[in-house]
Amino acid sequence: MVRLTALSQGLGKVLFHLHLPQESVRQMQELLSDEQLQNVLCSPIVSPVQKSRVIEALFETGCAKFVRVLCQYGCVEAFGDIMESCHDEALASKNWLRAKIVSARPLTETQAESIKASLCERYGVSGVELEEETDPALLGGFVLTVGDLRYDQSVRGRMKTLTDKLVRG
Amino acid sequence: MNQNEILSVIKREIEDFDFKTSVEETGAIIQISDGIVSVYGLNSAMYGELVEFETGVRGIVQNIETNSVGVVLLGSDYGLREGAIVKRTGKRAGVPVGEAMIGRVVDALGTPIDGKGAIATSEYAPIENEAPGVIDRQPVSVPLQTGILAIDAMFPIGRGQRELIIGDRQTGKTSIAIDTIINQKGQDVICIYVAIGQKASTVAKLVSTLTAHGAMDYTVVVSSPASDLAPLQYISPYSGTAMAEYFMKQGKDVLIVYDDLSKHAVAYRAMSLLLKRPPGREAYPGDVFYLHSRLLERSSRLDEAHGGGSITALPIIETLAGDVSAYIPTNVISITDGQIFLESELFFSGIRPAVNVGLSVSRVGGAAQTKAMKKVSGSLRIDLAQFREMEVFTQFSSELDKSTKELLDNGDRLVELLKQPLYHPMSLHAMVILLCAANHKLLLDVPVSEIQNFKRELLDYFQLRHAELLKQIDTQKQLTEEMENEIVEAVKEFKK
Repeated sequence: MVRLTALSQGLGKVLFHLHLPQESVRQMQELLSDEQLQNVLCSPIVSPVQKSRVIEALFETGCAKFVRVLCQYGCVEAFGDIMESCHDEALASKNWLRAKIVSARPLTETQAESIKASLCERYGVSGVELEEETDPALLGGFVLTVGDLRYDQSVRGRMKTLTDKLVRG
Repeated sequence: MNQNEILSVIKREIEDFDFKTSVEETGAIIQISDGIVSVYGLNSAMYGELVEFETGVRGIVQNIETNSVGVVLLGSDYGLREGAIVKRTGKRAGVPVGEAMIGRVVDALGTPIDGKGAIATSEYAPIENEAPGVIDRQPVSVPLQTGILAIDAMFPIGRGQRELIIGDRQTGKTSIAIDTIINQKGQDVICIYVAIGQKASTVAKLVSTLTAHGAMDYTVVVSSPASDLAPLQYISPYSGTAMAEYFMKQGKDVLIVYDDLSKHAVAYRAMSLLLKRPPGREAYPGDVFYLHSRLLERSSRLDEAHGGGSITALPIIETLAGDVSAYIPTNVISITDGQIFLESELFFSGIRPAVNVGLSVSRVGGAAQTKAMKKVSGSLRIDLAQFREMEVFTQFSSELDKSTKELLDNGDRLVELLKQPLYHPMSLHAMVILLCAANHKLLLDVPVSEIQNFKRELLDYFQLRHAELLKQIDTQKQLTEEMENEIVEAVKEFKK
C-alpha cells in the first residue's frame, strides 16, 4: 500500500510530463475505470503478451505505452491515485495550490473568492483550486485543508478544544 | 470542591478561553497492521514525536520515509480506518513526573492503574533523554546496601552503579531486586521498579509484598505486562528512567530495577520487524545494543554542581540454560559495571541466594563498601574459591590432612552463612558481626545444620547485650581493633 502510494506519485508526475492529449487521457481514464478491463490487466493468469495485445487494441500509442508500464509495476488499480497525482503536478506547474474546504453551509461566491485570495497571499501562489464540501455537523464555520495543514475554524472544533481543555484542566 | 466552586471554575475557563483558529499538521492513514500505522503526510514530523489519531489514541513516530511515516500505536487500533486523520502534537513522547508518583503503580505512559485516582503532577518529562556527560559525573563511592550478605560482602554496589542480575528462570533474580528495595527503608533512596512483559498476577503479588513491608512509601512501580502492546513494553524502561531522573536532578538517590531487559529486547525486536527494519543476529535489529546502552548510561552519579543525585540501576537479564555468552546477555554485561550471576544448580541445592561467586563481579568493588565491611569481607572470596577448588579434589582422595579438613569445614560454614531467607535483609551491623565471627574461625565448632539457628540467636544476643556496639557500627561504619576484639569476645561468651 505504501509502495503503491510512492509509485502512484511518481507515475502521476510522469503522466503529466508526457503531455499526452487531454482527450486521450480522458479516454484512458474511462477505459481503466472499467472493472472487467482492470481484472484482465491485473490478472497473473493473463500473459504479458496477451495484455499487450489488449492494450494496443484499446488505447492510443502514447497512452498504450503508459498503460503497459502500469501493468509492469502492478499499479493499474491505483490509476485513480495516479490521476490525482498528475493533477497535483499540473497545478504545481502553473504555481497553483490545491485546497479543500468543508463548511457547515455552502459558501457564497464572494466567500470562496475571499478564501482563495487569502491563500494566494499566504502561500505566494498564482491561483487556488478550492474543493468545496458541506457538512452540517460542523455546526458553523469551516475546516480548511491545504496540503498537510488543517485550519479548524468550525464551531464543532472549538467545542472539542474547550472540552479537552476543561477535562485536562 | 463544592458544586458552586466547580461551576465558577468552569465559567472562568470558558470566559478565559481563547477562540484562536487551531492549525494542525495532519496526515492520513494508508495502512494499519499489527499496531504499526503508515501515515501519508506529516512531512514535518520529527522522529520520536507523539502523534494523535482521531480516536484519541496516541502513537510515536518511529520511521520517516520519503512519502510516509511509520507510527507505533500506544493503544488499541479499534476505530482506526484507512484515510483517518492523524495530527502532530509537536511534543516528544513523555510521562508525568513528580513526587506524587511515589507509592503509585502506573503504566508505561504514567497513567495510574492502581485504582487510587489521578496523579496530580504538573511536570512532564520526555522518555528519551541524553545521559549526563563525563564532566557532570563523580565517581561512585557511596554504598547502596542491598541487605544481602553475599552481595554486600563480595560484590558491593554503590550509588550510581549499574549492576546486572543475570540467571536462568526461577533462580531468584527478582527476589534480589525486591530485597534490595525493601532494604532501602529509611535510607533516603527512592525506588522505581519497572516490570516489562511480566504476568500481571506476578506484578500484583510484588506490589502486595512491597506494601506489606512498607516499601511502597518510597517506591514507584511502572508496569507494562505481557498483555501490553510491544511499543508500550519498549518505552516502559525509558519512562521509569525519566521518572528517576526527575528525582536525581533534585539531588536525591534513586534505585531503579528493570525486570527484565530480555523481554524488553524481545518487544523491541517485534516492533522493529513490524516496522520492516532489517533483522540482524537472532532477528534482533542492528541497534539492539544501543537500545540498552542509552538506557543504562542515564544511570549515574552526578557531581555536587549538578545536585549530587544518583540513579543506581539493577537491570535483570534472563538466560537460557545458563548461557551468558548469548547475544543480549553479552551486550548488557559489557554495558554494566558488574554482574551477579545466579545459577539454577546452586538454587536447587539449597544455596539461596544462588550467587555464583566465581562469575559474579562488581567493577566498583571496595570503593562502594563501608570500611567496616571492607575489613571483614576481605578474604571471603578467596576462602570460598579455595573451598570450591578443594571440594573437587576431595572426590578423589579419602584421607585429608588437618589443614585441608579445616579449609573444607570453614568453607561449608561460610556457604551456610551466606544463605539468607527471602524478604529478610540484613543490617550492616549484622553482616559485620557474622563475617567477623567467621574470619576468626569461631563457627568451626558449630554444626553446619545449626548455623542458621546460631546466626539468629547470636544476633539476638548482640541486640540484647551489645546494643551500643551495634549502634556504633551502624553510625561510624568502621571497625576498629577494639570493636573487633569486643565482637570476638562477645561471640565466645555467647558460645559458652
